[in-house]
Amino acid sequence: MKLLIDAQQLSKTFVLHQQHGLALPVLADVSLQVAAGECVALTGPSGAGKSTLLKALYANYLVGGGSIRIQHQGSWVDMTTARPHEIAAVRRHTLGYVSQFLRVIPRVSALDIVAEPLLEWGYSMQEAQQQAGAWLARLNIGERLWPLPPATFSGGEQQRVNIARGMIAPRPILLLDEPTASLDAANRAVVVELMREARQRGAALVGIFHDEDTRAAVASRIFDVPLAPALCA
Amino acid sequence: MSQPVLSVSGLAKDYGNGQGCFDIDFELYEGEVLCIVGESGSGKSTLLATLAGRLSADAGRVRFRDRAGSSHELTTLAEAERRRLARSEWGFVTQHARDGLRMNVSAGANVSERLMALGQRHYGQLRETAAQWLEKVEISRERLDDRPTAFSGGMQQRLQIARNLVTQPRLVFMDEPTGGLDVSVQARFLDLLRRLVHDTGIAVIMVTHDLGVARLLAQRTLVMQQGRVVEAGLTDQILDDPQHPYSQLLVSSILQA
Repeated sequence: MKLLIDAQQLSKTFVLHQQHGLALPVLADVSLQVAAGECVALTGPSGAGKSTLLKALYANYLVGGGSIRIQHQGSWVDMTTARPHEIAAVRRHTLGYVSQFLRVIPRVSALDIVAEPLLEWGYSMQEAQQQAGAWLARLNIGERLWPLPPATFSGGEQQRVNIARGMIAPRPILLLDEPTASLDAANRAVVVELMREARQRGAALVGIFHDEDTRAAVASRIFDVPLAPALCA
Repeated sequence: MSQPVLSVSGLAKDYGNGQGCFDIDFELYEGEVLCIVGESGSGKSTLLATLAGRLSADAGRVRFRDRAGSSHELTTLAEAERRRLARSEWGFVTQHARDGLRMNVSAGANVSERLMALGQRHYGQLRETAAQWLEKVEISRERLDDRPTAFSGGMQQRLQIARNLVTQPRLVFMDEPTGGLDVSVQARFLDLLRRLVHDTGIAVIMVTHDLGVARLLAQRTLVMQQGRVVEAGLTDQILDDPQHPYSQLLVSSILQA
């Protein structure tokens, strides 16, 4: 069993300076290890910190304490102490994140948005666009939409473009924040299949899946995010 | 991991009345875009001008690594050497394109000027290179002989980009480059800049007050208040989980489109 994520004793308290320094403890002493080929589903009541944990693993949120070691190109990188350009390299090559929302430069076509991660991996434009087309087709985005910027797409279409962009580069670790949230059953099945394929190639997945069927179909393990003590009262 | 293009430590420019910039530390690598955000008067533009050697520093060090791998200490550099680097290794894009262009010569001459300063003399080749750069910034090559006065604001700004990037600088300073642009032109500019960074590996330091621009373009952000960097880190971290009271105020003040 090859460990890819080793997060130890994470704590996170939000301090809201605009609210007179109100402190909201969300994570306290949370540890999570994930190995290659696993898919860990984060569970817990709303507000328990599932999303916070996922974002902390991506270094999108800063933790107050603990360590987040990520297996990156043969060595461990601690995301809590790594310098920004090191984190950028880990994200580019190792650690992918699929959110529900597409955030991209206006005017850029759906095909180029999806191809971009492969260009960063050094693929030629032709090869990257070819693979991007295959991903979009698989996610039922019709070819007539490929040259268009996704700003005018429906919510579900935008989310599928986002999934293609997040999964096209075969990164060893994928973090998924409700990847199937606004998809219909047919597209949900495609995304479930893509996540299974990622596991089969040895990727470690950590995700939040509100839909129980999706969770049952992809997760190899459930991780119940423990409530921070101050929130238990 | 490669060496940083720029290493800044303890940099200060003190105007003497509490204004300026102080205790600035950061490193910038090839292919990185760094945004400096903060409100008016926070020292953003002063920092940019000090980094680029347009203002003399009062303390600290700025080490620049050129494309040949040699290091230059910019705070003590002789003026002639600074000018040589400014021509061959840097670009500086100003907020108002008129300040960065020569308005009384043609678009082609604006783009060719830096190439000529570096010794290129072949007229046909200069003209062809200029035409190619106009097309890269989405200006028709038929406008080569027109003066920038005949261009719209957005076209002038793109011409300024072409003029600065034609010598393939390693480092480009930008002071509010999207400030005066319509949103549609701004989107085009962002797309262009993103592609140039990807294709050429240039490093960019951009002053902006637009956090949306920072999110889309910059991996990293410095938040400045009263001349000091109050928060530095990955752009998405600063926007999604700001730590400093001032960063929190800034982020909470964004209008959601």
